[in-house]
Amino acid sequence: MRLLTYETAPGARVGVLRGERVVELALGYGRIGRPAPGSLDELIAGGEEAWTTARRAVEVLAPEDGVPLDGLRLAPPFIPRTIICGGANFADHLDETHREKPDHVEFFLKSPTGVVGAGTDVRMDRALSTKYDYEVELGIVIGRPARNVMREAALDYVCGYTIINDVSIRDRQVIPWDPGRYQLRFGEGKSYRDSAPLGPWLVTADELPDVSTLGLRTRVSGQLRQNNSMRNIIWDVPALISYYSTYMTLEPGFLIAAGTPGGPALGSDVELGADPYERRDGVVRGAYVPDGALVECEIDGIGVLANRYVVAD
Amino acid sequence: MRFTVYRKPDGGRQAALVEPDEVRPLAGSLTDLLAAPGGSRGPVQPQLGAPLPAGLPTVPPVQPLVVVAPGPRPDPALPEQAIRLAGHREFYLKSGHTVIGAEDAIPYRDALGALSYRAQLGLIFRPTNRHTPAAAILDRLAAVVLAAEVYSVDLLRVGWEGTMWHVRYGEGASFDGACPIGPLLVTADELLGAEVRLTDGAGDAAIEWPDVAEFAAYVNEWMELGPSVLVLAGSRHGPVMTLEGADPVIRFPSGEPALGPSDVVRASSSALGEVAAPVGKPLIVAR
Repeated sequence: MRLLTYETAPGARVGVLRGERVVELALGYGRIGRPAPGSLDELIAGGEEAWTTARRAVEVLAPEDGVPLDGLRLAPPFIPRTIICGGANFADHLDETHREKPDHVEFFLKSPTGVVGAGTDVRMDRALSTKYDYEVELGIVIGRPARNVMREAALDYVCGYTIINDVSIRDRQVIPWDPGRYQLRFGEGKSYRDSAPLGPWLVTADELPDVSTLGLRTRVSGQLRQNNSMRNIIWDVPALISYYSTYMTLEPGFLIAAGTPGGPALGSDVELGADPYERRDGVVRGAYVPDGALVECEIDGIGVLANRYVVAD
Repeated sequence: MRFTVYRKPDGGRQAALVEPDEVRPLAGSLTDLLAAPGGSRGPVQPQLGAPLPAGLPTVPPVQPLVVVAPGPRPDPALPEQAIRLAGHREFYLKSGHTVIGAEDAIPYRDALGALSYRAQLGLIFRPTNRHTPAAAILDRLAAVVLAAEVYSVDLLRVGWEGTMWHVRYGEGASFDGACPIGPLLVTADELLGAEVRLTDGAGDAAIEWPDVAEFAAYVNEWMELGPSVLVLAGSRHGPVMTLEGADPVIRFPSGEPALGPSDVVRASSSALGEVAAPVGKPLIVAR
């Protein structure tokens, strides 16, 4: 299933994508005589029983029941209860920022208060930063409470996947320390207004049984800026879930951002320690996102998360 | 006004107004009350029911989506140039799921090593746009709560990735139970400008309101504030950021408490009540 949330005049609705049409999920619940969840958050929190009912509800829906996807205003599919980020997870991103593979999974948090949906503008506050960047990342959605999970069982705790653009303001994140060395501040660099575009929808795990080979790309106003594959991730999805669950219980509705490959503008920013080596994969080295640029984050099997960056107070 | 939230026998929650001689249930939730334009001092007045019996267990008076906390202070013993480097103010995030009640158990895991904590003010603001200056930010403060910010002495360390380093706040400070709060939530009008003292295992200190305002305004440069964001105001005697040679390190005060299973995280304030959260037994590996 591909589940999304869209805005209507009376309020947000949960829909299921059928081809190029969106059918309101509540219609299916009505047909099977069950109460519909008020949001995708509620469905995720309901666990396996809720997912079983959701599948039954979707089975009785037809594309003709829906409306065209084009023209709908999408909201974030859900608001993650916590966003855990796994940075430093692709070798080409480490290389371009003069970093070495750390001996542990990187673990920092991003505020869910910055989540916006596909199609919503990312408002750039020039008083805060002149270096707004992009990072395409696989979003892993937790469906069952996970604590001290072994790597081999980790995927059992995933209910779906989505795309997150880990918007980063580099002049607040990467702080020159002494010559050639830098402090990374994930609080200031990663959490602010509109810093977490999410979507366009959640793809349930049964539709994506193997995410380990998915391609990831970012285009800025049509220019290819990131282009890699989950094949090249350092700590894969099971390893991330296992690591984080060692320290905190991953609850339904938690989102893990799996890390981004090389190609963000930071990788070309010599002032902040970058080594913008020439790439041979079609990726164009470029500057930070300019006013009005459309940033499209794409992951195979999921879709495209597109947001325009605009300067705003 | 002083509020608390009880766990009802059916598992539900009941917000209540705490008065000197009785506790009376509220008709709505504390979050709704705090999110109202005037907060608890404005047009929304609590609707009260009949007095509640004493001795009901409390739960966190607010359940934020995210907790924002200040990073370690710069070591005051450093030379000025080093302070400039080490002394950048920094904030980091803890999951809202680290918030537990004042007497709830902190689930211990062997991976955490030794735990310590500091008493801090937890700030809950009315919905607040960004860029509010420090001189005005406390006008938007709705209420405060006592928080014990728990961290792992073994994991809250500097991590290096070649030429770049960061503090490992994820492992070191965002584990289950790392933010006991409560039991009271006190409206700002009762406390602002008054002497409020916080006591924890490391000592006793008065709240410096200008410092509180400065940090809240700093966070507000980045994010809008409101009941979904709990801002911890920091502690004057917590760990510091310092240097060993040219390398940044976190130094813990001598005599830093090192807690493990069966110890109790204790913090108190005459104005805000007491946190007494026991460190629980290690979790059993699920699979």
